[in-house]
Amino acid sequence: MSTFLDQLARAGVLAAGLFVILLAGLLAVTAVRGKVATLVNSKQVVDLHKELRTRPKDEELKQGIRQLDLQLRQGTFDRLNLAHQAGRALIGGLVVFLVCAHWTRRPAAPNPLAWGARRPEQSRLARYAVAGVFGLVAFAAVLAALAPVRLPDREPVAEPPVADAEFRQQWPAFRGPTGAGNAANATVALPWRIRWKTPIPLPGMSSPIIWSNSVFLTGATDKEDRVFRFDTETGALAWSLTMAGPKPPAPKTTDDTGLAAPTPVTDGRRVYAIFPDGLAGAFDFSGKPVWTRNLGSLENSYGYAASPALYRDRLLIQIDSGDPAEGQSRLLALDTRTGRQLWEVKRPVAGSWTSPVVVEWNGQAQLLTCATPFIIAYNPLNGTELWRAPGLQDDCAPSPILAGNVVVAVAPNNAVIGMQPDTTNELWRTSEGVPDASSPVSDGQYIYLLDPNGMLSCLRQDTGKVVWTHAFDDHFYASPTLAGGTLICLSRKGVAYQVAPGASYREIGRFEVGEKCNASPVPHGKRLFVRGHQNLFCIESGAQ
Amino acid sequence: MIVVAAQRFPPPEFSETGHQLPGFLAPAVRALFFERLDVAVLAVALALAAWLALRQRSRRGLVWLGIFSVLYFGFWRKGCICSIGSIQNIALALSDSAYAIPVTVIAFGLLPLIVALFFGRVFCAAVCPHGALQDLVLLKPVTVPPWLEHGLRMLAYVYLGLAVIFAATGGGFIICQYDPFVPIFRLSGNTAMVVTGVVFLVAGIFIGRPYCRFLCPYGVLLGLAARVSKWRVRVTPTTCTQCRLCEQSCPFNALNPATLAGPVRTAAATKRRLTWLLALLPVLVATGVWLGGVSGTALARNNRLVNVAERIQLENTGAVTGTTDAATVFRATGTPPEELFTVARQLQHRNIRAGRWAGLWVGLVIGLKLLALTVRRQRPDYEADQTRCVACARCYRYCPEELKRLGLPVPE
Amino acid sequence: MNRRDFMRGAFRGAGLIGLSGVLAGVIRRANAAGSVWQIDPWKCTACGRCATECVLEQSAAKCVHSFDMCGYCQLCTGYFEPQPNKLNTAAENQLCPTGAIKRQFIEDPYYEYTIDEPLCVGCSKCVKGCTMFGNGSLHLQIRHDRCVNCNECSIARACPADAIHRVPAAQPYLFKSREGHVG
Repeated sequence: MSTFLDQLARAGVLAAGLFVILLAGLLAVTAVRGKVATLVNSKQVVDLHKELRTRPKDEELKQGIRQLDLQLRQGTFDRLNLAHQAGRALIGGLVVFLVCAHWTRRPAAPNPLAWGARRPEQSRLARYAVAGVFGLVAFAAVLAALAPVRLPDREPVAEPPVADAEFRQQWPAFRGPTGAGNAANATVALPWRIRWKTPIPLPGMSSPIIWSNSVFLTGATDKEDRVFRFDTETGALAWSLTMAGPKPPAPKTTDDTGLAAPTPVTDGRRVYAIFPDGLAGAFDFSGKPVWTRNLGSLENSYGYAASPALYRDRLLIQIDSGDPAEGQSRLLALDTRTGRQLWEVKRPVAGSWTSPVVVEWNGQAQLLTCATPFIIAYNPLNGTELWRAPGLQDDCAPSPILAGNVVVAVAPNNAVIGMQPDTTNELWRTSEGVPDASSPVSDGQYIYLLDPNGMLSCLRQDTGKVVWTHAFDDHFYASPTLAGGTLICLSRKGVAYQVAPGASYREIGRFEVGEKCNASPVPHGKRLFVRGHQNLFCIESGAQ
Repeated sequence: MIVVAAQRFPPPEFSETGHQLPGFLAPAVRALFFERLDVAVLAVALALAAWLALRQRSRRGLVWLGIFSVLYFGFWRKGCICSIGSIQNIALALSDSAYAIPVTVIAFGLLPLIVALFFGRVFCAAVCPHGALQDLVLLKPVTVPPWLEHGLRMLAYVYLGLAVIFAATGGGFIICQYDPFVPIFRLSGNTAMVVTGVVFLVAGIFIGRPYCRFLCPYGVLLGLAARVSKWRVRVTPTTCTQCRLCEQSCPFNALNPATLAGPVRTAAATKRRLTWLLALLPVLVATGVWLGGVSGTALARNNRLVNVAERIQLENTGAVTGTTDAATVFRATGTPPEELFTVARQLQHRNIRAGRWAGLWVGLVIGLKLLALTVRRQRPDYEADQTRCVACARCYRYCPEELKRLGLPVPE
Repeated sequence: MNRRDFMRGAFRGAGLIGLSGVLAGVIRRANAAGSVWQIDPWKCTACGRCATECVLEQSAAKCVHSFDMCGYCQLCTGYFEPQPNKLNTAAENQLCPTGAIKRQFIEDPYYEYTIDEPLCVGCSKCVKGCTMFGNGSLHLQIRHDRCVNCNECSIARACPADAIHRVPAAQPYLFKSREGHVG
């Protein structure tokens, strides 16, 4: 006989059961909408924001974005609130359901007579079942074992990084081992004489780089890109190699820039070169090509000229072109061993002809770059921006240097700026003697600049005050270079002016190379290497 | 490590308003007292469960205790900290000297085992929130045929082996990752886990305690301890009259009937089988060791460093395009990949060794189980299986001796 | 005592010894005070997984603001999206998808940015903007009034920078400050 409670319990089972199912269904449905991930990773929002940047005055678009934002937010927070409350209601419903269900359940009185014979123990079947489980596990294990091994088998030989001390003895990049354009332990005592001169097979504006007894150069025509290796002792051409891979079409450039303007860079194991047609590649010292990549078009109004920089196992390439708004400028890093791209960041800058420079500041490596309108420093390991400072304008070509505690950057025909690294603090600014192509150099106390009219200026490093100027009756593209105690200014006509650095101008000599020169001279040990339009010269001390 | 120049912009100077920088509150952590309280509650609940199951023999008491456990250990503590997971913490603490295991976790791991050595699996009866939850939702038990029961139970042993080696090699806590009931206690979780929880809960309405019987790794340990317990669950309070009334009372297949009188397989046949299985045992163990060893490399993928190393290798060889966040972070450290590969290889070897141990365990367990299924023990009475009985006290009311003890009418 | 009981007793004793051995093995390195999960903000790469990986519906990881590090800039790169249409609070200009950052004018040219905690979901967009272009004063931390202290943190498992680890419960936070970490 069912009592009132029994009937209530039975009704409760149905009602609560239905309630639980409906609520679970509701939760499942809302779980699909209103997820936090939908709100946070909405592609629609990203697209609309992009559109707004192209049409900043579009009021309707703004309203649309606001609507969408409200919708997404409401969806998410509604769902969060619902999940919170509905979850509890669900448990409550479940409890009611269980209580009623247990109440209505009446276990039948056991009637062994109706059960028949006792069930046998089924040991044999059980053994098969157990063996079956083992078989399943074995199957899973074998499947797992068949999954491909992805780590390299052998212990690959790790390339140890090149010791800093050795690096600093060389001239492995455009502005020397520290990007500052000076070689502290090179001395070329006066008077000078030419030790050897060797014709360079193909023309180019890139500067030579030196590693121990090798000099590397690049040269190109619109039909081929080549890398050359010369011996420092004799000037003999050790090898002259075309870049591997199909050659992309040559871009349009000016005669002043040419088709081989970026200076190559080396880490003592391989030499890395990049050409304006987009080919970048590496050769080992024996001349074997290691890798080649096509970076795409490096179109740039005067022609691509940025030399790559090197940091540990990363080759850093700055590609600036066009207008900042076009967003074409970028900085990328390639793995030196394989050429694989490690990272790429966009740069909010206009086209430039400066080269990036790796410096060390506060125990941390920074990659300094200059282009209109920002000086930007990046972490060379991963491309994160460390700091940026506005202040550059027009066509930037001089590369920045770190002189003591000051980052010196040049806004051509406008100003030379001394920045405090890591901040946007401008320490000093001067508008006299501003170069338009050559980069500054520092001896630790003074900064030397060559402007387009042939004027050499000396500024104090800490204050930027002009200490002296001297007008050469000549024109210069090459950046001034410090070799030991001598400041060398190499003019386009091929005259090397030797100046003693200091608080007043003192010319200690002149030397005629005998050929037109655009590339910057490279001091190494007791020699100076100069690239003329046709020949590579090795100059040494003529004193006995 | 991503080091950035922190102070790009200098600190502000509030010259006009003299504005004070606001502070902010850091919400406190759950007080240590409450952690200790959990252990105390656990101890009291264990004692109560033992008393209710063995002394008072009261199913109703156990049900109420079970409800309390579901509420306290389940919904209030969100099912975490739990004894099942503590196996992993202990395994990790034993293998990694850098890991500082909380004392609470040790207590949660060891207390129920010590109690089981004396009183059987009373923890499972009404203290474990997972067990109590499954027990409470069991409405229409469906009997699982014994052969299937024996087979599926082996999965719990395999799970135990895997959980221990994953935890010990630093590959993560798989018991926690794949726990079906914690999403229900938390009322949240990712879709897959919530669905699994619901499936287990619904299945639990018909199949009694599916997680406890077929998957729970802690249950394996408790079962081993309960095997040698001092006091056990006895269906009858006095003696068994083989009336068969309790035969279908246990929804968990944990009641062993008295052995049939009647035609029994010849002793010779049994001896032959025993000999074969004894000889098979070392073969099974060796196979297990080999299987574990070959799957070690795949097992290692549970480990973060191995994953990153494999990804880096794939990217370096051009086998995949694009990159992952983890690979990007690694490359940003500037560490040469060779160092990472060396560490990853060491971890792989570690996993291969651990896999071999797990394989040994599985081979051994399967071999011993096969032997146990061949040995026929004479059972004069209906008894609760010591390893599998979870002391839920359902069977008591079926026994006429019990009904007599309680002064209730005995059915005809 | 018959043989079976003796065997049982012996195994029980062995079991107790075994458990004591395990206890001895782990008690030396045991941590009496407990530990909780926390994000190391100097390792965090602001990948956004904190918002989606937490087992809770609304993540226990949320953004906090170290005011002593903040520059109080008018153009806050953590508040405004990279090229804001206008420097106001309109939805199209804000980075935060839930509008959890409140901007308040203090005095020229300083603005104060505070986080409305119930609205923050821990997506780390503001953290990325602030760290990459600003002072890095916004960072994510796990709030312990929300965190359930799982045995294994799912966010920690997913973190690509391995920035989430257990810290002693006595020092549950790793806030950023000008000097570095502040417990």
